Amino acid sequence: MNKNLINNLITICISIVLLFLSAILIENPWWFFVIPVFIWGIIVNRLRWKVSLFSIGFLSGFLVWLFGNIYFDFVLDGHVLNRIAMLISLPKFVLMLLTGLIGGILTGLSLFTGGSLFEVRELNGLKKYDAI
Amino acid sequence: MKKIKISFLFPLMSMILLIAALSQQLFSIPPMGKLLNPFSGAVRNGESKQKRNTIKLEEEGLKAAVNIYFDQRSVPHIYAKGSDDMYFAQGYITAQFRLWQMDFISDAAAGRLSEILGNRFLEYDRNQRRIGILSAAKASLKMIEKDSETLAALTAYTKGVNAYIKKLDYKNTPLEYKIMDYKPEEWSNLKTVLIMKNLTSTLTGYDDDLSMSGMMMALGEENFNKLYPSYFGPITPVMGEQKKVINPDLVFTKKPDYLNFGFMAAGTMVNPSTYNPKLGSNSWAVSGNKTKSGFPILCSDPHLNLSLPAIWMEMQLTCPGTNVYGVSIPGTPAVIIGFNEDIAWGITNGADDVKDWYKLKITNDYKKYEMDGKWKKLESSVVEIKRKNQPSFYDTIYRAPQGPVVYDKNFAGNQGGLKNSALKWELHRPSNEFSTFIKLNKAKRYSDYKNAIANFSSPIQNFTFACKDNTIAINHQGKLARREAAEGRFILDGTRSRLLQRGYIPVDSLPGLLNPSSNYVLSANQHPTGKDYPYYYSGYYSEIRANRIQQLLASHNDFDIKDMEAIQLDNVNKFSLDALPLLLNHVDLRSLNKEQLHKISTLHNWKGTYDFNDVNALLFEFWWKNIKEAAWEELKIFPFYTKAPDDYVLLNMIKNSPEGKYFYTPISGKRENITAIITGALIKAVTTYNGIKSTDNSKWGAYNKINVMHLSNIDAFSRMNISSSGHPEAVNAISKNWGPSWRMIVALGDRPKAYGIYPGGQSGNIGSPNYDDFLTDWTKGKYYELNFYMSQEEAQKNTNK
Repeated sequence: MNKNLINNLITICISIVLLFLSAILIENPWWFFVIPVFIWGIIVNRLRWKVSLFSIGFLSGFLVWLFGNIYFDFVLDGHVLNRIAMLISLPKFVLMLLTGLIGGILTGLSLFTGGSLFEVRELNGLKKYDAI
Repeated sequence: MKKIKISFLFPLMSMILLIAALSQQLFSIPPMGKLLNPFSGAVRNGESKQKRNTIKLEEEGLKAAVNIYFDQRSVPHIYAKGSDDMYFAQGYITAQFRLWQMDFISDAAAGRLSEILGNRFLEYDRNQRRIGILSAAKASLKMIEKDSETLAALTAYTKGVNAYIKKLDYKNTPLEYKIMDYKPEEWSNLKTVLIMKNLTSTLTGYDDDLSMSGMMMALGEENFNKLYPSYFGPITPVMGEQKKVINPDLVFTKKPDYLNFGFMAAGTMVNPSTYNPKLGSNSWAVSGNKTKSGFPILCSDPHLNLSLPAIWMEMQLTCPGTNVYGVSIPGTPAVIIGFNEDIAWGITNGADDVKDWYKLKITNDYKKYEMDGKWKKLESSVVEIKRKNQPSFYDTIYRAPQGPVVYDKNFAGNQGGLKNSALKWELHRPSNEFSTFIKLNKAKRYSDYKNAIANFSSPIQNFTFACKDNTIAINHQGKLARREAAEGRFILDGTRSRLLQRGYIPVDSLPGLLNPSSNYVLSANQHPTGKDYPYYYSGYYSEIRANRIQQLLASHNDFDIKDMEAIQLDNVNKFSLDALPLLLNHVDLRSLNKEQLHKISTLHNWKGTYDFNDVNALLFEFWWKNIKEAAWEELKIFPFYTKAPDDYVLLNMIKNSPEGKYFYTPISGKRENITAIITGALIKAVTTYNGIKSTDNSKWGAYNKINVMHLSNIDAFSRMNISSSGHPEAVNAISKNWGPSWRMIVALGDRPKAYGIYPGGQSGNIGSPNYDDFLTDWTKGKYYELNFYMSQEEAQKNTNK
């Protein structure tokens, strides 16, 4: 299999695991997950994987927030999100997409930020950064 | 070593800004990041439909473990080994079901909404502080702390609530906190007292003293008494007609000597009160001599605002010496309306006027006020009102001997006409209502009941009582001030100390009945006494429901539960029934077209019923409204006119008009042709009615829509536009936003058999199936059989089926 694809998949999987773990371990503040994801971004960067960090982060966060909400909405069948959708005058599916969007953007940004913290010299010469 | 890149700051800043934006409320948008987080946000407030499991409560602070069983409707049945543990568990379970509601109501009562919702509630908070709810609650708490039994109950309840709050994490925090972005604060005895004071405010807050003062000055004594008499139409007083010497002060309202245009500005604009004078209730008890079973039956249905979470929460509380079932008010211990193995009790609002305004003479700098010709120092205090994201607001409140000066140069509120008037309100006096309910919960006989209510002071209530030994009783109980004739109906002169209070009517002289020969007692916010009561008092009484209940109770001698349900759900407005024949007699048939004649002929057979499918009720409503408008049109010229004379006043004017043709309007003395008014009103009503009929809403139920609003007034959390039968003046007193907030019927006997329902559900959680699950059945007039367990074994067996 393409090594790049595998690296992308690993990045997604670990990001998702991190999102779950941080939510389970630390409930407050609600944005705590960006810290482990940020660190994971640094690591991916240092591994010199060719991964589009924002897109991959976005995808992980989008999936976790969207399906997390769908799951609990279904299991707890409380119709809370129906009421929230009414409250902010949006159709429920738009609200669902919005939850995905929030999770996606934040995860994407934090992974990307982690990845862009340090400069990395690309050995393959695809990108040339100044090294000291 | 790798170098840190400056460019990383850009995504970092974007992320921080985004998190900050999603963490807080922006205008009316809740903090979306927090709220939509799938792990701790709104979605986690959902509750599945499973039956609740028994809870064995072993929290720190309990003397022994407490068992809480839940029946199919999620009613908790609490079994404790002592009363402290029982109230602890009540506090705990109430918090679990209703934490936000009780917290929010206590904050709203205290005038602390700016603290949680921001500056837009500053006016509201200032008003609450100025009318003195918080300071009254503090004074009452001081008094309560001297009574060991009440203090123990309140303290245990508070501990229970706090034990629950301590266990909360963000995920389980009630949704309203998440949306409004604040946290539950620790519960306290003061918050409990605030909730009771809030109820007192709701029930005794209405007054029309300013408006009536204007009307008295404009109309003069004679016409005022014609339009706003204390007694009008037929009455069924709480204590029955005693046929003693008539007290002339109760019949004719004299104009106080100080009330003239020098005393009050002539053109004062008066806004209608924000309180609802029609909030009322029904309650009656029938002795075993009038029931099939030979045991008494007691009914109670308090009419309050229809709101979600519901005002009441149902529960059974037991410990050695107590086994009581009924409804409690979230935030307060004990059962407020209910029954135990031996007795049942109900309450209705006394509806007496206990709120007066004294017009003061104050110097421009608010340093001094005049009393009996002398200038005295005006007291003042500064209160801090905290505001969200803003520095605190400091408000100076002035205080005269009568009470606080609510409206002054710095605060106009919505009643500018009351500027520089002191408010004297029974609510301000320290009182301990909890003691009454704690004692009633374990009362076994009449003497226990009398002892329980003996010190009940405010708000004045009609207590109805029934015991399985066939004693029935009713008492108009509370602190009713002794007054001079007409005192309290108008703005009082604050410069005379003579008008300061002269004590209360003695408790043993308060209206009441014990085992009357009629074998029933009833109250529905009507006059407590006839015109023969030796003391002067006044109030905002409603007579129609009481008259109807009396008619129904007198008509039978073998009542059972089904009969009582029918009375509670009775949709007849007795006024309409009384008025219809008279109105029909005055219609000029020659000026009607075929269709209008047809409408008249169907009205002939109408029985005054506001049933769901009734097609005449709406037409009559329009007709009578048009007649009223035409008859009282000229009163509208007064800027202080807020309340039309009672419907019976107008009906009597029509009835007693010379030759049945005319009545003279009170102001201009104009001769009004009754037939013309009534016929014109009918023609107009038929047109309006036909307009509505074309949209198929002419059935009363389709037109009569009610709203059960969430306390925050958020539509998404409310149930709106529910079609309903009933009428504010019918026994089934349903109105647009208030109505029978708890219908209860208790048949006493070897084992009490009880039925009840309230518009809402046990849980205050919007995501719970128990949030509003009783509402549909309530609108249909259904009742649930209440599961009163005689023993813990029985509770265990029946709840774990």
